[in-house]
Amino acid sequence: MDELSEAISNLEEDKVLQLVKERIDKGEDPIKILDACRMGMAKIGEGAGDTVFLTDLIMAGEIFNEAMEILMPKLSSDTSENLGKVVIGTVQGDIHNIGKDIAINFLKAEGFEVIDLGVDVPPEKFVEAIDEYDPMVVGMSGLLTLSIEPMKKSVEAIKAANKRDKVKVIIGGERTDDEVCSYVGADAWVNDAIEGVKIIKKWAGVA
Amino acid sequence: MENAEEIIKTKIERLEVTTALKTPDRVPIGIATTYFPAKYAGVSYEQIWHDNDKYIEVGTKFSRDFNWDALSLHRSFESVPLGLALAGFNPDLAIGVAVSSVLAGGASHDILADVYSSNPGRELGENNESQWVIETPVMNADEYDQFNEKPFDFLMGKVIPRAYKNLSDPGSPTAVGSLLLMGQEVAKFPGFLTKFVGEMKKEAWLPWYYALAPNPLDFIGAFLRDFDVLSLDLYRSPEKVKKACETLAPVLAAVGKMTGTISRDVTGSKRVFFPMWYNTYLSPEKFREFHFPYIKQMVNEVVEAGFTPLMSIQGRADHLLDQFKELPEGKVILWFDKTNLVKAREVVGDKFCLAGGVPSSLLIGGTPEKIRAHIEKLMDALKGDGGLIISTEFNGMGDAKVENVKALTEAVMKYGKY
Repeated sequence: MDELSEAISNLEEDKVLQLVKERIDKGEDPIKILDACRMGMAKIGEGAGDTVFLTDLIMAGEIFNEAMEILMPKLSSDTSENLGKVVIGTVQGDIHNIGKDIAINFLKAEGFEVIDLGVDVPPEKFVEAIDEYDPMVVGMSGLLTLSIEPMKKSVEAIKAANKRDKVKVIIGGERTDDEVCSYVGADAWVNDAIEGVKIIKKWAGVA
Repeated sequence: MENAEEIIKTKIERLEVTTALKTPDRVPIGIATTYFPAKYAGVSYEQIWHDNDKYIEVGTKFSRDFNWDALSLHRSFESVPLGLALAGFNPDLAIGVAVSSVLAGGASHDILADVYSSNPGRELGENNESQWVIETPVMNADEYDQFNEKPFDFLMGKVIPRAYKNLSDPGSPTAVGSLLLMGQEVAKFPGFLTKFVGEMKKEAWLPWYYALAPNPLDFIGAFLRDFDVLSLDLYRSPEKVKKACETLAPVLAAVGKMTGTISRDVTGSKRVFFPMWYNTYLSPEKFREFHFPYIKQMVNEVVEAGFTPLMSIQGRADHLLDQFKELPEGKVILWFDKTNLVKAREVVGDKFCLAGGVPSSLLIGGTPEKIRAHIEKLMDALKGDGGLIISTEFNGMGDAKVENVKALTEAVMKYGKY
């Protein structure tokens, strides 16, 4: 594996940032540098739940974002890959952000454009975001049992606005399962963020 | 309830025998749930959080109707950092301040305006469960050295004004007034404690726990840094994090022993609640390096003082089970949340009392038949000659159906007999 990819997958923050800067200074194509970063993130994602745990995913997201901050000004928007748009938020009444943020970082690393609606997102905000961004996928996150009703209400609001067939809906959180998924009216459910990224990749036809 | 005192004695005995891995008359049931008893009694979450008479009404009704071997229905933790900051000044006052939010309800959140919790009937709807998220870290990444050098001074000088909006300007009328109001709340606490425990004991109530020993890494994550930025600290300044854990461990063990003494004296329960949450985030290596050593140190100290650590291992710990074998055998209860209890028994063997086995989702979405079948199967797999307590995930069963909770209770009475 590329030295930069490997440094990311080993969570070597200083080394990653140094390599990104060096390669830019050498005049390397920023797309190639970005791809190396993405490969490192993909490698981390592969180990999730097995050899890679939450603190590792959080650190990986931090390093990736730092690398992106250096790379972004060098990338023109039309040259970077875009697999599709994902709108994501933690549902109304729930203010936990960690699962959502991990999903966002890894979706970005895969090449999705992500619109983060934040936490405690009311149903109508999901509908407005569909209007505004025309996403392929809507992700609803929630840690607690109390998130189940707001997830259902959000899906119903999307239905009521006649937009349910335009988007795939995925729900994520500790308390979600098959039963919750059909109750809420979502297309898929996950207990962990990396699994969610895999499902969204399938939907986008890239996995 | 007739013979309440006798029943309490039987419950204490049943739980202690089970913990010591001997055979009791029946598998005990011990559960922590604040929301389900409220719903069962027709009381809103807002009321149970803020109205202590309603709280007692809920606790007594639930204890009378379900008569579990052990029940805890606690509220929040907002005043714990303020209490800890006072530990060097006056330990008894410190404990009073710390436990006033845990045992006496949402008043300290209202008075101090902390950045930690969102409570029912305040930031949230009247029947929303309280949530805990630090708005912004109240200790910065570069402040570990200051904390490690003079922890209590640092807590009082830097953390407290950031953690409590009403104490943000020390010496201001708002800050001084809020502290005086807090003092009034703390002064009410012994009277409330006597009343609550007195009324609950009439219903033969025994707490699942009534004492608390937070562990260092979870304390840093929950009260000082927030869990996601603490994850970064583990990579960027590992030695400083470990030093902070070293600093905190003896102080938090003292909290466990002091609250354990109160619990033993007023309720008869020697169990001390050791909540663990951050284990869910950690690889086995990081768990061994940052989390477990300090927990083990505290457990040993609390056991030596004659108490029983109730290890509330929240989230998932399937990948960490080996470590728990290092705890003192027959002296602690390993209470699991989402960890597979059968697998836990395989790994830790018959040297430890296990608690758990009933997922909240089953109580919420299942049926009485499913629950009976689940308990029968669980007993077959794990009852053995003792060392099993039936429980659910920590405070996760708020939305459970009443008929399912009744079925759970009856099934334990029926299939749990030795």
